[in-house]
Amino acid sequence: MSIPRAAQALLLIGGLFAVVAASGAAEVGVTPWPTTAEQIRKGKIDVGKKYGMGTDQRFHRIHESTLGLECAACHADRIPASARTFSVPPAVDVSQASPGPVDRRVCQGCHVGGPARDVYGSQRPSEVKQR
Amino acid sequence: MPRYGMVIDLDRCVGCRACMEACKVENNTPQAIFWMYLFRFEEGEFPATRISFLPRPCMHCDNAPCVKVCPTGARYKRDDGLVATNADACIGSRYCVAACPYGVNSFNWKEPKANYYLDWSAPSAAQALKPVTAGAVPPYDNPDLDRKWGKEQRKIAGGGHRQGIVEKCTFCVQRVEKGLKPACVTACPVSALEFGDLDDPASAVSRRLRSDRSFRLREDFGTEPRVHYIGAARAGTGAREIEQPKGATA
Ligand code: HEC
Ligand code: HEC
Repeated sequence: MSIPRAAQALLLIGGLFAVVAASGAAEVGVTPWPTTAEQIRKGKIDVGKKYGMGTDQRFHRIHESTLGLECAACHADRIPASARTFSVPPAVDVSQASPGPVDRRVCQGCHVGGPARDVYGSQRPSEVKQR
Repeated sequence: MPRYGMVIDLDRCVGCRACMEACKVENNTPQAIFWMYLFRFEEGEFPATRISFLPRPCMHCDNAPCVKVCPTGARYKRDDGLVATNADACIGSRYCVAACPYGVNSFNWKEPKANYYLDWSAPSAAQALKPVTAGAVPPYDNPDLDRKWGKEQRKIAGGGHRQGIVEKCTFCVQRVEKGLKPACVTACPVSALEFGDLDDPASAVSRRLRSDRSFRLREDFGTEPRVHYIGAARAGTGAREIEQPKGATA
């Protein structure tokens, strides 16, 4: 059974990422996802070498193809004013091909204190191993 | 070692955008790229409306997500707290763009032109300039931007404007290293912006921080920004951006 997109996004924002990721992972046959996370970091799952935000590059290959997140888990139609990203109006930083803006709170579900790498957690930049 | 930071007084800000202008002139940023951006918000319904402003430079976070995700180490934190981008090491992965909750990073989709705003060398421009600046040419082509800075000696002042790399506010490292304040701070006509050593109790930033309650943007991300805001004129969550970024709600 697959959870509707909107509910999935809400769950992620609510921090219930494990539930969602488990169902996403089940669909593509990789489970449980903390192991997947480690395998990606160790290079045991091939996500390519192209560091970038394009849909064929590592970012989307990790989150979408490998972890099985749906586009709508991150891309919304709109971002509520309370979660402003303070981006500049001409939106020069986003390609026209993007399905919609991304509420950065979604990332916190997985990137605060693991199992995915520390991005918003308490680890200092100097403590995060550079690739 | 100073611990540089900025204090922005929202009660003083009048939304004139001189900070944005000064930044562009100092750093010669490409068209549609703003290292400093001033948001204008509006709330309420006519006639009971209220307007507020939010100048937004890079937050130069102590716990910067952009530094953590950069695959090459091009984005790094200096000892004095400035979060810098080494133009020679940036591969344009845009991971910083994705990770930053403040939207301060801009990617050069196109090759920027040397000078967007006016060809100062054209005779007509020189003539137009004469009555305004007595012939002095604005430093649109600031040679400091291409130099290497800091103990690491890296190209971090933004002179790397070129296609395929990311750029953002540098706190005007080329000025700070000479003992000057960032261009936006110097240009602000109402002294809403202040810059200095947060560790020095006698500095203007420390004094202002002591005198007023302060807050920082999106503290929920644990980024520990070095830019502090003071003043009560803060946009409520119901506020609308007057010029809206793509995808924002009304
Ligand atoms: C983990 C969250 C996440 C998921 C899942 C995701 N995206 Fe993205 N996507 C992003 C972020 C972050 C950006 C950067 C742009 C931005 O900030 O809005 C982005 C950018 C893009 C872009 C612009 C690429 C570029 O080069 O600028 C496209 C196209 C895109 N996504 C398509 C998709 C599609 C199609 C899916 C589903 C198959 C998807 N995304 C799933 C987070 C995600
Ligand atoms: C469902 C959980 C999940 C969500 C939501 C998520 N990520 Fe990730 N992310 C991962 C995992 C797992 C990895 C791979 C393992 C690792 O790098 O720790 C990863 C890797 C990354 C990487 C490293 C990419 C590389 O090439 O190695 C970045 C950068 C990143 N995520 C940023 C983000 C951002 C920004 C968002 C929000 C738009 C986001 N993530 C949302 C789980 C998630």
